[in-house]
Amino acid sequence: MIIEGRVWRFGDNITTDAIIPAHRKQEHRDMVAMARFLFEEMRPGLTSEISPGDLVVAGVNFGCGSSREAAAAILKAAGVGGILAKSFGRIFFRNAVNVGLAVLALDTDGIAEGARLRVDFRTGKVQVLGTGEERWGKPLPRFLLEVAEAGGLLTYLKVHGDYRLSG
Amino acid sequence: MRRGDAKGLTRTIIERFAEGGVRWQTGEVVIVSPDRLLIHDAYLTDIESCLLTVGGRPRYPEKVVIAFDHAVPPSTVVQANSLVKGLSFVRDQGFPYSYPFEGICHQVMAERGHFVPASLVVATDSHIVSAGAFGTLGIAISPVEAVEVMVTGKTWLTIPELVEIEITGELPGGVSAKDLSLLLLRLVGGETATGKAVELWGSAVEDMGVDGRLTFCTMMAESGCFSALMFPNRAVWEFLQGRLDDSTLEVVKQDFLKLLGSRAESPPDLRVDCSSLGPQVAAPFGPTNVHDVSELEGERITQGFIGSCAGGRYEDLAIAAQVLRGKRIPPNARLIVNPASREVAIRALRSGVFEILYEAGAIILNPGCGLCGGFHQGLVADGDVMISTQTRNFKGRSGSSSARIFLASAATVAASVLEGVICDPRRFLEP
Repeated sequence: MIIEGRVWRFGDNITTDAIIPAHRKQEHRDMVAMARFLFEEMRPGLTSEISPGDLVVAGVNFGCGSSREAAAAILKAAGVGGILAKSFGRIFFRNAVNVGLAVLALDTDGIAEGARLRVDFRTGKVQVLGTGEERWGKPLPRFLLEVAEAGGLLTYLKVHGDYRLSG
Repeated sequence: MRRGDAKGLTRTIIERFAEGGVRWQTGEVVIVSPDRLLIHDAYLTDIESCLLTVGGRPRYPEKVVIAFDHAVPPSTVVQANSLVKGLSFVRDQGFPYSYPFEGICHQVMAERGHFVPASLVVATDSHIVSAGAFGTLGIAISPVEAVEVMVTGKTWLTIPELVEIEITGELPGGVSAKDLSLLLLRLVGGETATGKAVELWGSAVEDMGVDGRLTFCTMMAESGCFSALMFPNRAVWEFLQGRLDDSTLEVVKQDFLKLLGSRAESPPDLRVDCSSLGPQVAAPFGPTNVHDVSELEGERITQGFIGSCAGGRYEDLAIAAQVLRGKRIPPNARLIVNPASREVAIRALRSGVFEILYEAGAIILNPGCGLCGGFHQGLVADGDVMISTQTRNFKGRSGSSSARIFLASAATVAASVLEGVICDPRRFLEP
């Protein structure tokens, strides 16, 4: 799974509440309708600027706090192609993979807002386009990559019928 | 063997429920068939529509536990419609373990014998980590995965690294498991235990009652850990008497004794002595922002909350009653109390605890999550400062985003509401 897109840069300990507040989740059911409230407090209007395949890049503990699945689903609905961070909140990480959002853990220091990246989620290779810079992240285990690539757990199971661990 | 890769109790339990051979490498994915799936009303609508999309019927309805706790009784028409729809979904699918209005899901799991030592449970709620109080491995999963567990009976886990914490000493009077858990969050913070399987040992853990253990393990979820486990102690086995039938209990005890040998041999990653611990308070806006109560004394308080899966148990209500006996909450403050379950409420009623709280002017509400998640009843206003036994104090969590929330033990909450400022509860607890 290779994704090329613009970097939308965030810091450390971004909570699921920052991604989408609880009250928005209660007011709306439809992910596409809710997408415009992505990062409502931190970066209002972000969704209208995102091009499909763009990347969210963050520091440590991205998606910490409450386990709300909507946080991952809304990032996907807003057109985000993948997330690069130094580390992820555990449940957010699960939610992301299960809704078909590719994630990669790596040292993101120095990857700036507005940069263009080419990310190979299978190998973990990240290229900063126009600079020749290359970094390597820790790719997902094969099974989780397949789930994300399939578009999420429901689709994966529809296609494969059962959980298939390789090797 | 590298410390973090030590087998431990967590991996031993995972092995019991995993498909195929397991190689014990950290990060390896395994497929497990949990004993129980816990879901609650906050996600029921999502789960229901997801199940429809998948087109499957729950293969194992007897593995599913459903609680209505987050938005009951409903405060909006949307919530009311959601509740009624949820109740009929449960009826239509024939789920035998449905607990509407019985109390907070994790407390109900404990009371109804769904937390069985050495078993594996999954839930659409991060505080399922509380299962660790019983030596049960409790893992949080997403609603989509919950649907798959219902239909296939299985889900995936990645093998976590292990972190062992030993807590020695004896908690001083007036200092509770809640204070101890806040201390742990201060020590392990947001990084040390993230994604890892925590195992807790030591005399302080051995001495902890069931209420304290459940509260402690619940709070460990705020460290971002994969799970938190304690070896069942005498209090746990006594609690389970009558909640599991005798033959099952005997089998479970024997099985657990066999697992004793799975404790990792090396010294713990963290050793803490709690003998001189004082009351702890987490300041806005995170549960790991913990201080000694003495550092925060004098901070003005407008509302107190005693409730949630980390502070609405009998022990919490009882100590609040000790502080408030014969006293009256000042008119400028509110104290809201939600017992964690109907069982807790009945006990508080019969023992006179509720009478003391009512006489003091507390607002006593129904068994359930109450204001913690911001769904209903008792939300905080702009500029409010609340001190609460709940699990989290992120901005905007329980109402207005300009309100500030401090987290503390039930005793500290009761004393602080009484005084109108954050204060050490111990002077109200002299024998």
